[in-house]
Amino acid sequence: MKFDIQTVERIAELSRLEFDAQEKEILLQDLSKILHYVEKLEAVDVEKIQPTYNIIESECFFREDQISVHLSNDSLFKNAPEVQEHFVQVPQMIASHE
Amino acid sequence: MSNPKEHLYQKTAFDLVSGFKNKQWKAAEIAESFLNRALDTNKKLNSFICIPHESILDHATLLDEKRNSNEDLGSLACSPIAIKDILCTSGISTTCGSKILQNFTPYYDATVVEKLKDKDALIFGKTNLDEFAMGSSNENSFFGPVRNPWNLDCVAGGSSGGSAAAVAGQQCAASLGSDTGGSIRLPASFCGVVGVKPSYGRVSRFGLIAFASSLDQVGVFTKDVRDSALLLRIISGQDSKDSTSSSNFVPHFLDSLSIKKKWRIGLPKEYFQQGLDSEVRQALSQSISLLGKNKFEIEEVSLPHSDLSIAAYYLIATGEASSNLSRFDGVRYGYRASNPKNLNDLYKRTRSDGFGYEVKRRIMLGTFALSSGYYDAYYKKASQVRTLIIQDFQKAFEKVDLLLTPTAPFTAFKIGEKTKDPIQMYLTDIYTTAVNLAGLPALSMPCGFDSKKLPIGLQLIAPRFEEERMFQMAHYLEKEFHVQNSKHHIVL
Repeated sequence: MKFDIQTVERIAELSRLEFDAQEKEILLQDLSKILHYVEKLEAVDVEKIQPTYNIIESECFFREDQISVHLSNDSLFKNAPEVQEHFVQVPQMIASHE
Repeated sequence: MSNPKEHLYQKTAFDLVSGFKNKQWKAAEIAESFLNRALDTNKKLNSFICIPHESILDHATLLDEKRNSNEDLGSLACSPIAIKDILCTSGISTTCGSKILQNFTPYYDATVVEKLKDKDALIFGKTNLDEFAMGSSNENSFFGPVRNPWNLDCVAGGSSGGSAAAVAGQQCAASLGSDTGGSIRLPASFCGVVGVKPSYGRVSRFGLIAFASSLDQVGVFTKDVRDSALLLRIISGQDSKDSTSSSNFVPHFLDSLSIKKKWRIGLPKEYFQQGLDSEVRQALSQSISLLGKNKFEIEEVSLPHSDLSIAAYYLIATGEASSNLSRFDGVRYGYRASNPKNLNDLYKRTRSDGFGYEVKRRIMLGTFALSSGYYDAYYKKASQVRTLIIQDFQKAFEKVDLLLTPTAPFTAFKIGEKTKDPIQMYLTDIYTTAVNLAGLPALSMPCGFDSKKLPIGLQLIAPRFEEERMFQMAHYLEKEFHVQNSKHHIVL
């Protein structure tokens, strides 16, 4: 498998992360090393083996649909970095074409 | 009679509760003793990110009033319990050891914190950790590394290093941690305390900021097995806020600590092979021969896929983490990069400035393992190997009742010793990750010291929801180890 700087850049974009040239180089080395290590899984025959994605056997359980804790708007917005009235502020999303 | 020279901060949670209830000590005295100790030693250990001094004293005053007016007191009344800073605490900052959550203060308690409060525990601050619980040495915290109370040049182990060091350093009576691949057991081993990772589903994860949801589990650090049994029962049980929490019966671990039968002990041969430090091996051998002398049936077993557990673990854990950590985008909470050009720029720069290197590396690895074209070869393959690892344990538990292994291949290493090589660091968890992949309960307890006077950890692994027998065995061993371990003391 080819793991190169272009792959690092593609994965960084998917991860919404950015790196300078030096960081990319270090990541390339580190991730190559880790991927080389996990290649040992390739040798295992798992053709007839079901994957385990979660350990719980039981079905989802339901709870009564009751109001339990009342959270005020103020407490919910307290941690937001930028708030205007009761809205979280973010940069403009739709470009104007004027 | 208690030893007059003994400080309150040296006591276990069990003894503090009974002493407080019997009016031997006031809550204010207990709080003050631990606060002085914690504030005094934290400069050396860096085990706490936050000690809410005033609210601890206020709570102690309330407990004294409660006792004076003969109100019912909870089963943890006035025991100072520290909380790993990845568990939400209402009104107390919860940072995950990260710049990105540096200023985050939750408005609710994690279920486990709520349960401790219900039993009148003193919530004794938030402990340091590897950022988002990602690490084996507690060197990845935005707030600096935690130091090992037995040797300040050594790591405390990770990721719950602060919770382990705080108990070992007698800054609190007990603490909560979380264990995704060994993050309770490894620091417990390095710091010489008891650390318990319960069965997956035993304890609610509500309010535990998620790292890898199919592996994460909250557990406890204590000075002895009795305290672990006391605490684990309190935090266990089904929670309507966590659909993965189990309705399985929670036994009264504390009342059933005396050993009921001679449990059959399995020694997985793969856990005693090359790479195991000779002094650790020797300490384990002594423990095993001690059990043999006491007529326990001991049998070698095999977990043939052990060698694959680190590889499977790092693909699954990072895959889940890359998804869980996508919520940290600078919009609703936490750090936000300044002057973003647009929304995408806001996400990217917030995350790039806000996360440390190890977290970014794991998000990258996980995103890659889940990405189109690679999913089958990495994430799915790892999940299939996970099934094989689970089957290994099932077969072993057909023959034996418990498994006994070293917790780590070596004792605490020097700060900085393994930071250069990710694989060397990841291999620290070689004996702990398979347990998480299989959702089993496991416990680490001190079983001796090496020539550097650093504690050695012994791990007991039980079948799912069989914590009871694990505690019984640990309690039995603890009594046997007592003399040997009491030779060494921490000086801070």
